[in-house]
Amino acid sequence: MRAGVPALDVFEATPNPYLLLAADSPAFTIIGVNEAYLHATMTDRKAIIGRPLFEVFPDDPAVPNVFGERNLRASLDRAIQSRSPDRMAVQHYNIRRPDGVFEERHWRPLSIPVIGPGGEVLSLIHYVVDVTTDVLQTRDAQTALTASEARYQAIVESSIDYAMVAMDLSGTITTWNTGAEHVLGWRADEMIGRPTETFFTQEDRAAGVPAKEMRAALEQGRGTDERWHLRKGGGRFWANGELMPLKDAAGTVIGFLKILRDRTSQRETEVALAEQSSILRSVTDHVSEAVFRLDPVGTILLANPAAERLFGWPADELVGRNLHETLHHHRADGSTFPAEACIFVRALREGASLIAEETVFFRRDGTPVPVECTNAPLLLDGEVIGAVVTVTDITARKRVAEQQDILNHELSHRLKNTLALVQSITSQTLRSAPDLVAAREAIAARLIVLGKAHDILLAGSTDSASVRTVVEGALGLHDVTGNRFQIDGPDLDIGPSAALSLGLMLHELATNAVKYGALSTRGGTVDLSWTLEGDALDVVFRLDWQERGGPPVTPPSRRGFGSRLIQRGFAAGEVALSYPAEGVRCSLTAPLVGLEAGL
Amino acid sequence: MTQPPETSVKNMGSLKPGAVALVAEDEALIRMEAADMLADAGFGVFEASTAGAALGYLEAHPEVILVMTDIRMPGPSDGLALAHAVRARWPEMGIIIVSGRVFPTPAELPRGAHFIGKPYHVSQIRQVLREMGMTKPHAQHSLRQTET
Repeated sequence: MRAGVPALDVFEATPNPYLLLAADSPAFTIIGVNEAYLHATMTDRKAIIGRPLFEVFPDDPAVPNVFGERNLRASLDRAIQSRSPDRMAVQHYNIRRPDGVFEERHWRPLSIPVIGPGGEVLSLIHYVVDVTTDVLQTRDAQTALTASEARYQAIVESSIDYAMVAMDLSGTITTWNTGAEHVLGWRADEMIGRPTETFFTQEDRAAGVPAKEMRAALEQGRGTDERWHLRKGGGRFWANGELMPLKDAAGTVIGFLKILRDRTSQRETEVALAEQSSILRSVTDHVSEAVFRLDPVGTILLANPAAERLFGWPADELVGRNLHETLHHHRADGSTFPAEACIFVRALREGASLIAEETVFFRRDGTPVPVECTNAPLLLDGEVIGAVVTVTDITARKRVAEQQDILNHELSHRLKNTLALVQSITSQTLRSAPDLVAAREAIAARLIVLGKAHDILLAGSTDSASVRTVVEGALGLHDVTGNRFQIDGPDLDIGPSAALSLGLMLHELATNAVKYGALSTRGGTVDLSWTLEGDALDVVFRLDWQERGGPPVTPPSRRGFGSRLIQRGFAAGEVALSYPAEGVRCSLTAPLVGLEAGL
Repeated sequence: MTQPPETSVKNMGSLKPGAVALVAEDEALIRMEAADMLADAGFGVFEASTAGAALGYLEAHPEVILVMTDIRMPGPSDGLALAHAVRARWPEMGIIIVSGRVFPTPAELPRGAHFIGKPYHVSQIRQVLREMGMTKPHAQHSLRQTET
C-alpha cells in the first residue's frame, strides 16, 4: 500500500462514494475505489482500476450543453494547484450503465488533494454525493410552478375586460396588463413607474381616495368600490374596482393588486332604467286617470294616487284586493256583476287589449262613477303575467254631452218657434193686405225686423238684448236721416221673446208713421222713451211713442195686422194706442219680471 | 193682468151659435194666428198670454167650450198644468195642447186632450176639431173631400 492512501478498511467502510485518483493530470488514473462508489456508478472494480478517470466516465453525448468532464477536470486541477479541497456546484453527470445506456445523475463533487510530507500532492480523493433525487424533485416542483405561473400569466394577459394593475406600497405601478391597456388606454411602458393616482379623477385625487383605498385594503384584506376613473386622453368611465394587498412568501405586504372593470355601459343601462322607472312613477303618480297594476287573477298590486282620489280608497288598502270585486261589483242598473260575465276579467285572463270601454265603477261609499276603462295586458314569453288597467272618470264628459243635447234641443225649439213666427207673420199679412204687392213688401220688411231682432240676441254674450239696441234695430229701417227719432231711456236688458215682440211692434208703429203719421211729412218726429216705474217688488217697464209734426191724425177705419199686433202688446203687458190729432200716441207697460224671463 | 177680450163672431156658421174658444199663448203673433184659425173654424175667441189669465177667463165665461194652450208660458203655472186644471173643473171642455219644445207622452195628457207639435198647420187643427165634434157642417163636408 502506498503512502497517502488511507487505511483500506476505513476507505471501504465509509457509506459515501469515494474514488482515489493519481495526481497525474490530465489522465487522473483511477487508483482506488470504494464499494459505495462502485455501487453508485454501477461499475466493477476490476474494470476501472488503473484506467484514466474520463475514459471510464465520459460525458453523455445525448445531453447537449453538459460539461461534466470539463468542470471536473478543472476542479481536480484546481485542487492540485491550490493543495486544498475544491468544492464543485451540483453537476449534471450522467452515468453509463453496463448495457451502455446513460442514466441521469446529478452530483455534488469534492476534490481533496492528499498532500505528502514534502508538500507535494500525492493523490486526489474524489468524493461525490449523489443528489439526483433532490435535483429531480426540485426540477419537478419547478416545472409545476412554472406551469402555474404561465397559466396565471396567461389569464392576466388574456383578460382584456379586466385591468390588472400591481403597485408597490407607495402606489407606484409595477405591472400593467393587456386588460389595463385595453380598459384604461395607456400602454404598460407608459404607466409602469407612474403613480396609481394617474387614473383617478381630479376630485378623487383631491379627496385622497387612492390612499384611503390602500388603507382600507390593508385593514379589511380587500376593498371594492364603484367610481369614475380616468382613461388616457381624460375621458371618464365608470369602474367596478377591487384592491387587494400582495404579500411575499413570508406574508409581508409588498404592494397591491388593483382589478378594474369598465361598467360604464352597465351603469348607463342602470341609470336609464332608474330614470325610466322614475318617469313611469312620475306619470302614474300625476295622471288624472286611475291606474292599476294587476296580477293574472285580478289582484291589485299597485294603485296610483288618482285611484285613491277617484274611488275613495287609500292605495295601500286597494293593494291585495280583487279589482272586480272591489270596484266593479255591480252593473250600472244596480244588478250584481259576476266576474265571469265581465269583459275586463276575461281580457285580463286572455291577455287581450281593451281600449276605452265605457262602464260603471263604484266608489268605496257605493256611489257609481261612469268610467272609460282600458286593459293593457302584460305578457312575458307569451305568458300573461298581469295587466295595467287605466280608468278614466267620464262624469264631466257625460255632463257636457247632456248639455250638448239640451243645447241642441233648445236650438231646435228656437228654430221651430221662429218658423212659427214666420208662419204667423206671413199668414197674418196675407189676411189683411190689400193686394199681393203690398203683402210681399210687408212680409219682407217684417221678416227683416225679425232677423234683426235675432241678430241682436245672438250678438250678446247672454241670452238677452238691450232695449236700446232693439229699438235702434227696429227703427233703423225707417229713418235714413237719423234725426227723426228722439230716443231716450235707461240701459235695460230684456229676454229674447220680449225683444222679438218689441222689435216687431216698433216696426209696425214706424211703418204706420211713415205711411200716415209724423214720418210722412218732412218735419215730423217721434219721441220714443222708456223708463222703469213702481216699487222694488213690482217694477213696471213703460215705453211711450209720441208722434209730432205730422198731418192731423184721423183714427184708422180698419184694423190691420200692425194695429192688431200692437194691441196685443207683449209679455202679459198692457197697450194703450190712441189717435189724438197732434200725433199717434202709444203707451206700453209690462211687469219687468215678464220681460226678463227668457221665454 | 189680462188682455182685453177680443172676440170674433164671424163665420160662426152652424157650430152651436155662440161657441167660444180660449187661446193661451204668450207669443202675440202666434196667438193672433191661432185665434184667427179658431175664428175661421166658427168660434168666438178669447186670448190669454198666461195660464193664470186663461183660468180667469174660464171662470168668467162659462160659454167657453174649447181651450187651446201652449205649454211653456211665463208665470207660475204652465199650459199642461192649466189643461189638467181645466179637465178637473170642466170635464166636457175640449182641450188642444201645442208646443214646439215639450212633447208630453199620452199618459201625461189630461183625458181626451189632443197634442199638436209646433209649428202646426190649420188642417191639423181642423182634424182635431172634427174628432171632438166641433166642426161646422160645411167644413166637415170639405174635409171629407180633401181626405179622399
